[in-house]
Amino acid sequence: MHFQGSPNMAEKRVKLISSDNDEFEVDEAVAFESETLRNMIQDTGTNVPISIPNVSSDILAKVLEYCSYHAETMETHDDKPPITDAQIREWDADFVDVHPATLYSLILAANYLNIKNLLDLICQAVANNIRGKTAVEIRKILHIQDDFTYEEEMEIRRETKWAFD
Amino acid sequence: MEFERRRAPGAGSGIPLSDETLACVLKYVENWQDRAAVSLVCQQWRRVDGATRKFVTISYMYSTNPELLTRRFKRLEGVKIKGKPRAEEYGLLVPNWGGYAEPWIRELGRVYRGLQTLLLRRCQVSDSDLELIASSPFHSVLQVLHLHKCAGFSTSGLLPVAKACRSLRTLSIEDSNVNDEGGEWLHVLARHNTVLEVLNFAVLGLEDVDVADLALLLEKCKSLVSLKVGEIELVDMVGALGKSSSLLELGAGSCNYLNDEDSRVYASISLPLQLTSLSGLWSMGDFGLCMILPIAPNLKKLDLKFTFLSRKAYCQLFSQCHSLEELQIRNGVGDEGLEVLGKSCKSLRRLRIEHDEAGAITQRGVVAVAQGCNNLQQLVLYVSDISNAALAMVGQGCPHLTDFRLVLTGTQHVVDLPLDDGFKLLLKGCPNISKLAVYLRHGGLTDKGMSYMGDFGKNLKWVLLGCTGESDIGLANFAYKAQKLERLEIRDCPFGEAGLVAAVVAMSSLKFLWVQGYRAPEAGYQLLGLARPWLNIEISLPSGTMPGQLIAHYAIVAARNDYPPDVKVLVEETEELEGMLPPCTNRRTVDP
Repeated sequence: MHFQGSPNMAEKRVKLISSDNDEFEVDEAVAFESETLRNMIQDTGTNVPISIPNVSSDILAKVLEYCSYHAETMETHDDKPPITDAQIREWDADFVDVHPATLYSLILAANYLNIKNLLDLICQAVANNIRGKTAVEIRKILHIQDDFTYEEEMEIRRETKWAFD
Repeated sequence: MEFERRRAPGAGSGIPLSDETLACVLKYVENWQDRAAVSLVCQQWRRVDGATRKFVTISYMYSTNPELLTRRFKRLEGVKIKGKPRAEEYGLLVPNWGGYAEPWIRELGRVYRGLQTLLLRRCQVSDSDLELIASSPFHSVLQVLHLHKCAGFSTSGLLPVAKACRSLRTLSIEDSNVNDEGGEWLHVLARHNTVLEVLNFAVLGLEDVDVADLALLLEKCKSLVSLKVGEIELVDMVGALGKSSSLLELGAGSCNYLNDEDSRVYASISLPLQLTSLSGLWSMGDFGLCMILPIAPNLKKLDLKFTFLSRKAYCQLFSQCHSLEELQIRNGVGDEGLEVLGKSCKSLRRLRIEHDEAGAITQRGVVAVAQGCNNLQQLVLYVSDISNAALAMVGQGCPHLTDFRLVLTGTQHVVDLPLDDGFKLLLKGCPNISKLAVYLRHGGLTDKGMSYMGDFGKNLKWVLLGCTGESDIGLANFAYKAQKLERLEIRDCPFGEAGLVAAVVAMSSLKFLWVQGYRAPEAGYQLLGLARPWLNIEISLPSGTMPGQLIAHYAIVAARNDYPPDVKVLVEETEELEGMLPPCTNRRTVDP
């Protein structure tokens, strides 16, 4: 798979390998959206493929899609009008319009790869998914196991019902 | 099963979010109901919620204690604490009832260095408590201090706050009972504070203030948008008002001097043109109208409770107030005034008409408002006459109502009682009503009407019943259906102890019950039925003309111990209740 930042600049390319052994090749500028990759590339250069053992292909593809779009928004072109903030917001909104389970995996990836804006964007999207839901619904959406004892749960229920609003 | 367990406690991927990432998610979940759900998801979510929650409201301070608050929430930036029950506002609680802010302020100071907002409502606050705030670790970051309907402090207590809390953006002692010990605090505030946005000391009896300090404050605080003063003569502060270009809300002080003059003096006063909210104006008569009319079309909020305007003046004013959204008046406005209101003020969202011996409003005025003001969300009425048809009109004309309060005053004969059908149609038409007060007279609402309230008041959370119902059956008819009801206040209703006990058990969301003057031939013995886990019960004995009172509230802590001798608290062992019961006079005389 190939992700391109700017076609007209002869840039260095970076190879990335997902947890399920798919190889991705991106412009260095795209990889630099990730603090983690930036540090690795600065340490080891672009010759060696970088393996990302805890991010699967489908999630890595999503993350790189985000990085290449945002790397592109940073560039100026003489022949094209600059991308507006409103356009970026719209693109971001589309980007996070995915299944909550995907969002959850994206959070882990964004966290590991240290892409602050992406992490923020997804956290906001997860928050949107949580709002208005009960605890049982939240657990179901995010596949979280209830680890309270019955007594603990009763105690918290009393507290939220009577003490703290 | 094994597989499920191995995946815990993270998500489908098997990896849980780090606390830090979860905190990043929860940053965008601020609503307390959502946070309550978050805290119930799993141990980690509860912990991170506790570490990141910014604001907590304690709806009744005796439902918990300060230590439990700080143990649960580590870094609060804002706290709202409500102390005494609402009955305090009507002088119905025994002296020294409680509601002390001191232990809370002490604990908040011990734990929350970043506390920016402190809202205390109906609390007992002393000058030394204010000193405690001024010397707390959060004094320099405190931005909002709101003492709403509190009592027990003086203007001297405000002095250390004005000195130490230099970041204050809001200082309000709205409707508090404050002792006037001079205006030094305002002098200090004006000298030290440049960031004030809201200052409210609109308290009757507060008059010892130097207008020069007010002028300095208006000059220095460029962001001051709301200023509500005590009993300062308006004519004295007009010059100072000219110094502010930011002011949008004005609580204008009193008009005693002005009333001795004639309309020309009023006409020479020009209020800031940008004002959108006007209140105060204590004792202002009709002469004052010429001062308000120029800004009337811009006004969104108007509080004329303390003025002496005639009906004619009200009519003239309302006909100009096309932007009005919130209005507080007394019933001296009359039905004519409400007719003009209904015609002119189409954007009105909140209308509060308080009682005044001199005035009276009836179904005629209520119908006019219901027909004209279709955006009303809150409607508070003291009426001398009302009909089922008028209530039905409110149901038809004001579908957005969330708060409806009706008090029937006086002894005038009301033809159309009971109001069962009227309330039925009102609640049917306004399904969003969550706050409802019905204070009638005996025969005003029958047991059938109580049943309708249960049937159609599906979203009721707070209800005041005064002189309603006929028997315990009526209360039961209501209680069994009122499954969202959290607060219930009952005054002068013919319900007995057994009925109250059954109602408390039936209402699954109930948090707080206050009862004054129940039918008590059983004199307390039936109340033993209320002895259930987590329910704290206290009784104020009858004294003089004051009937006895009962408070039952759920709490995660044991009953309080800061009550005065007139209050008796039911302790764990039910036998103790029997020992503390009032002498059962009724029982002994009626049934020896």
